[in-house]
Amino acid sequence: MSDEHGEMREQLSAYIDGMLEGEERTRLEAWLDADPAARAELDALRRVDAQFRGLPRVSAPDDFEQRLRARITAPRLWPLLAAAAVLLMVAGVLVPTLVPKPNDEIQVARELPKAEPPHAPAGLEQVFHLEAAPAQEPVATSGLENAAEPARTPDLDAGGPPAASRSLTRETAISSQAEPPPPAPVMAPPAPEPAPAEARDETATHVEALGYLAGRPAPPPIVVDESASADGVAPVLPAPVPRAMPSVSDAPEKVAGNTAPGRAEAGQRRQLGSGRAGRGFGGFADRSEEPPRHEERRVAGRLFRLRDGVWIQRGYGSQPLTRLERGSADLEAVTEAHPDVRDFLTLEPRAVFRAGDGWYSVVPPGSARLESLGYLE
Amino acid sequence: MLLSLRAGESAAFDLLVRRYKDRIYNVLYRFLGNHEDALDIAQEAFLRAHAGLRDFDGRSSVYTWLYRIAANLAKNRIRDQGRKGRDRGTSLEALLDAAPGPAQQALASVDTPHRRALREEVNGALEECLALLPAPCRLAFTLRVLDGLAYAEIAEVEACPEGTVKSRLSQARRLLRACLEKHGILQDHV
Repeated sequence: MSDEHGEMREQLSAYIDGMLEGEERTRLEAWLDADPAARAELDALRRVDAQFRGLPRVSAPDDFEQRLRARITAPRLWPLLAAAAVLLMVAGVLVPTLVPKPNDEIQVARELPKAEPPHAPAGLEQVFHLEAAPAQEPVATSGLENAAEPARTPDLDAGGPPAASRSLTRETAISSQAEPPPPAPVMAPPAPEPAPAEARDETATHVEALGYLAGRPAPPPIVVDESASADGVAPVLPAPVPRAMPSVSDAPEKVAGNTAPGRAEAGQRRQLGSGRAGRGFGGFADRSEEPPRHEERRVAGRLFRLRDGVWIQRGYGSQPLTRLERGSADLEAVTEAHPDVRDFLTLEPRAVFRAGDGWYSVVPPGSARLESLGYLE
Repeated sequence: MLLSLRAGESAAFDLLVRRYKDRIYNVLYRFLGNHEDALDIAQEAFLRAHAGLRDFDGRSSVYTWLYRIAANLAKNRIRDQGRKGRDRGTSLEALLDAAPGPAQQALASVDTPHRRALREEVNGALEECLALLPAPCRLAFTLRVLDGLAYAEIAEVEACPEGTVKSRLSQARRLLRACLEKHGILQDHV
């Protein structure tokens, strides 16, 4: 093949798309007329397109717009939910602190009477030391303010003067308690952390926030840990997210990357006539369902998908299956006739495959037929 | 429509979704190879479009802008899956070196009872070959052949010159031809 023909061969694709004009087109057509191999190649490329155009078009699920609307409207609720959560957290911190305890025996310590709140609740004595604080500086006394600016650890050592000129120390003296209570964690509003610049594009931050309210796991609340700071500024730590664990009963059905329903559910679907029978491998006919998630594996050049605990070779429809138990003589015979089958046996515990002209299922010894368990539809 | 969209009219956005959701979904499904990712990316693409409509400068058409968002998200998804080791485990070269597939054998004895299974198997082989293409070639081929976009539109979606689109399509068709011939489904009678 000359360089010129190699160059023209590269142009065949553009010719198919009608993207060649003028001299280029004339030259290519002359080559096609003169060279049957070139014409055959053009036809082959056209058949490639035709094959792919014959693929069925898939449509978005029927509830696509509904889901989208839910995700779009979700952020309007998000600030309200966040504000409500903050209020609850603040209430949780303040209420135990401010509610009087009538049975406590109180020892009053007044080191700076002028700073004492004029209407301190009975039963609780709080002494505030304002040391060289600017006159116009507000005294932070609520969780909201703590959340708005970096939280500062109270100086619990009443004898030691604070180092910072703008500091607030609080001394709580309750005679019934020898030691001060452990500091309660202060919850900050769950504001999303800014993502690194390279990881964001266009509206990434917005969409990440939306995703949480559209069936995704909620973001972990941000916890301000007062105790872990050396400089008085509390670090912001994400709280651990509890992970849903599969129950023991459904554990055999849970396969990584696969959300296939259990046997009972599969059987129930069949009884209800959900129309999945005959839908074919990897179908998506029932738009009301979540799209199926499949784990796939390629063995000996064939594609298998895991569905309801069974590895099913692509192309399986409703052909009758010859049942083979692992370790059986029948399986051994099939394996001898079709050596590829040996590879398929690595697909555990159950597999459906074609060997020669027939379709087979291989199951653990003593298992019922796949069809009777609702594995296959 | 563009003015309505940029004015934030929800009816205009609904129309945009209704008009393009199936096309976008089909392209994404063929590009990504599974419904779960196609749905996820399609939803996210529309969400981003909704959030960014006011900033849309109108220099491109709405649908190429929408396709570009979807294409970028899809390419990122493939890249992330590759990092996590979830990319497709077979290379095109490995497939071409493999023995002829079952479709080739089955084609020799086409009969009515098995026609559906056969068609599924052929479709499976087509999807498999498509999945084995390099992502840029696959995207260009999907947009051109399965969705009918013009070279200029594909170039806009992929943010590359038309010449690049041309060479990607040429490479895609050449590789697909080799792959399909290996599966035995490119004969004249198919």
